[in-house]
Amino acid sequence: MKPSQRQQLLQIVEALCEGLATSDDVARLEQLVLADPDARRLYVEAMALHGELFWDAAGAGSTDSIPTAIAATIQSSESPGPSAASAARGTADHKSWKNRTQKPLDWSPLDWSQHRRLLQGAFGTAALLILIAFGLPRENRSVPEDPVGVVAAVIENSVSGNSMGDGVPRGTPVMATTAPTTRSPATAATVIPEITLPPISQPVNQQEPWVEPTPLARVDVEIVPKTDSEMVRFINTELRRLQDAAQVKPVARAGDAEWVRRVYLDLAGRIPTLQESEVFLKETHPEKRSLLVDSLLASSGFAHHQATVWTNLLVGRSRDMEIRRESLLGWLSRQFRDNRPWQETVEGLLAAEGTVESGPANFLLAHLNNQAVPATAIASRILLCQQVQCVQCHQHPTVKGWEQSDFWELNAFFQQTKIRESVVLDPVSKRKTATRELVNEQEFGPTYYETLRGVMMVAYPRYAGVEVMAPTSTPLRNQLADLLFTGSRPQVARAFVNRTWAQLFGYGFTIPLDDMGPQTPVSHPELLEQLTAAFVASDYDVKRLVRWICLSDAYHLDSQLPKVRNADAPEQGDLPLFSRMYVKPLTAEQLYDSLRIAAGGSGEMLLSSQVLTDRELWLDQFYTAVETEENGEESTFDGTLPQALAMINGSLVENAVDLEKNPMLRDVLKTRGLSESDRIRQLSLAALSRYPSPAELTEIREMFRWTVKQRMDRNIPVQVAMAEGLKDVYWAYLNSSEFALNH
Amino acid sequence: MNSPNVNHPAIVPGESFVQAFTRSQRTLYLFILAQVGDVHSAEEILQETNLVIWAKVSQFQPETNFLSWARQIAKFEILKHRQRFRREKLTFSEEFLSAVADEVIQQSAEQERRREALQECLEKLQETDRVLIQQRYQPGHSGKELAEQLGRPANSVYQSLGRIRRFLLDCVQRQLSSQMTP
Repeated sequence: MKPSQRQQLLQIVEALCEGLATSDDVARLEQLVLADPDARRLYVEAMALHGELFWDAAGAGSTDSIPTAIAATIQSSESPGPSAASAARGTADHKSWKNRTQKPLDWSPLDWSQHRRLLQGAFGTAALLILIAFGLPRENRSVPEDPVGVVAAVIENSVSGNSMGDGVPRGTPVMATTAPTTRSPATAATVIPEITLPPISQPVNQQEPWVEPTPLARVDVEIVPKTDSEMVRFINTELRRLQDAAQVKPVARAGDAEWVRRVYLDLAGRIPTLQESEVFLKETHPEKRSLLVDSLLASSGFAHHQATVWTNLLVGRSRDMEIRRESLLGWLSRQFRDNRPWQETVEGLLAAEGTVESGPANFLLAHLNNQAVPATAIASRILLCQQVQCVQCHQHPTVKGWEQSDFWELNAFFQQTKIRESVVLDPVSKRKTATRELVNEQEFGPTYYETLRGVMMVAYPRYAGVEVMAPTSTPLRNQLADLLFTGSRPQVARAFVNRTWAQLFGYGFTIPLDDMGPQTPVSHPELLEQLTAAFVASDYDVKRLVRWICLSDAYHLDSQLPKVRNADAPEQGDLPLFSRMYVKPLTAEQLYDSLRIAAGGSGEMLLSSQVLTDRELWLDQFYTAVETEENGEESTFDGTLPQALAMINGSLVENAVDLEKNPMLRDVLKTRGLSESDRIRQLSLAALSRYPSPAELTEIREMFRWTVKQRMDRNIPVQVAMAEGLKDVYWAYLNSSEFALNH
Repeated sequence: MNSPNVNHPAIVPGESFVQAFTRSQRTLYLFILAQVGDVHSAEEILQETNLVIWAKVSQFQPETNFLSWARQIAKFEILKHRQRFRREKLTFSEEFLSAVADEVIQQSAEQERRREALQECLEKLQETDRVLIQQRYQPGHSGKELAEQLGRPANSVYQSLGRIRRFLLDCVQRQLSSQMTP
């Protein structure tokens, strides 16, 4: 290659790098590269250099280690870099940043936030808290528009028979800013693999309804949605139909800030981090909400949150029982992570054998006391949303057909099972420990109970009219599990749909949620039945059900009460119409995890065993188990004084406002060149995932200045006074009732 | 249950797959970039490629070469991208693409050494140059924005950047050749 050609080639590469190349340049480049192997080599080398610089600076591929699932997903919504691989660095970030400060010009791959800090450290000269609005060099990467072709490509690749969860592999670097890994634009419309749902023609159950309003028995659903998008449309139509009938207009759509906090709390069990909120708010992709839903569903955070919810339902929160909650939590978490069919999970719980180390066994290990009465009542209430505990002693007062015998016939399924207690020698610690093991016995009998008249009765295992002939080779509990899932719309599926809906909206289709007997009116019977049928047809695909709900219009509504009160008031006991998002108090776990996020933590960190242990200990102060026939528990986590004190005085909030312990706060307070308002806005975003309103900002600033003045009057240096003042602001945000609510 | 069309293929990618995937990212990116010439388009295509890779996890045979499998997918995605933007963006001919693709594959063996050499070369830069190039590659920045930020004429910034990149290119080449002839 002649020097002049080399010169020319490099010039064209330069133009290409800076986006200045013309079509003539490209033509000439092709000519050079195709004619001469040396030119080809040089071109590739030059582009590799450009690419390496870009890749590292963009914070992408610095480490070649494995991004964990959660890291990837989390990064997906916070890193605008070309891939999420940098997430793998995880918590090491802050350490490495410390080193960076000493060697600020060391060229190393940094993630974008560090990069930003680094540059400001290098160039910023403004003193702390000078009230100028220099502003951060904002990320301003434009979002590629997803032309139809991309959608087509995604469809092509996702339709190949994968059902929802499986099509969204964990660990996939899901990008919030560039192409989504999960579902793509125009999402609901096209991307979803088709499923076939069976037509519903037969009545749901044979019982005559006791109350008239909307008995499920009468529900026949003709229209059968065939795809996810049709399902979503069906939800929208059904909700609108009943709203129209009640002359209730849905409120406006929620803003992004409100919604992003909601969806993180609902799907990942925590608030978004400051960066996650910032990235989402700035994102301009038209389908960013559904993309976020999908990326959250694919995250380990979803599995963990869902497992937490169900562990609490199944065995409660108190640690007083002789079980291993962690092992149940871990098992459930894997079930949800791999999106195992709900049927499999329920069967696992009901038919489990083994010690406390075996996850699913813990459910019955916790409830087999008192002749398995709690097991009977809880399995029914939690898994079937049917309250049968009162039939234990007498016929149901209001439900015709719920007899005392029904309870004991269900109970009889558990009579083959015993808890074997034994002492084993731990091979590691050489200590003897007592273990409890769930075993099926070879010999067992029916169960006996006394009627109100004092007559002794015998009950054989029987469910839904099917009596199990014992003994057979299949254990009774396995047979029960099979019986629960017979039919095209078994109650166990309907119950799960109702619980999942309620988890996302605050109210289910029935009030109370877990009393779905024929005596309880159903707010949207057609919708409930259709969702149930679709859920069954999807082979109990949990993520898919959640996705349908989260993509429905109702899930995106504002939580503000309309100016004129309307008929949609479930808090007064009316049936919900879902014309607005109901406000949900954070669960204890959501509050804990959110405070850890507010204290600068990451979603990935929340999954570490250390944090889990800390969380259990923190929760323990609020819950006490009560060993009764329903194995309930008492809680002081109810928005009253103990909860308030735990917040205000607790170490969680204290750590969150500690500059040494909260790198995020330190960052917001110490980053040079930010105005006072900028800092307050950042604090508001970190705590509440939204920016303060102008009026709010004015008031906070006034108060802030007042505290600064107070401190300066006590001879506290101005920098310290200002930092302390901002910490006060953050403390107030964290203790606000808005923080403790999901709205 | 009642739905023959819905099945749950147990697509839980193994550790080795995830590892191979992660390790391949940079290599794939450079592979794509050389063929499209634009860092952002390359990013998009990489993401699209990743989508396909994950959708086809089940089709990957562990004993085969992950990278060449992934490159095949990337090639296809590049063509699709090119098709889509034929009118609005500069595109290369297919002949060019395949020649460059082959060249990248040939060079990929030395990619790691190249990267290490680049690290060393960056340290040899004068401090002002190093700062400038850092700023240029800060996420979301282009040379033009950088010029605006520095208050310098765009052309002079381009010239500086070109000079620095050329220095780095020469430096990396020297480093590599000195390694080969000890």
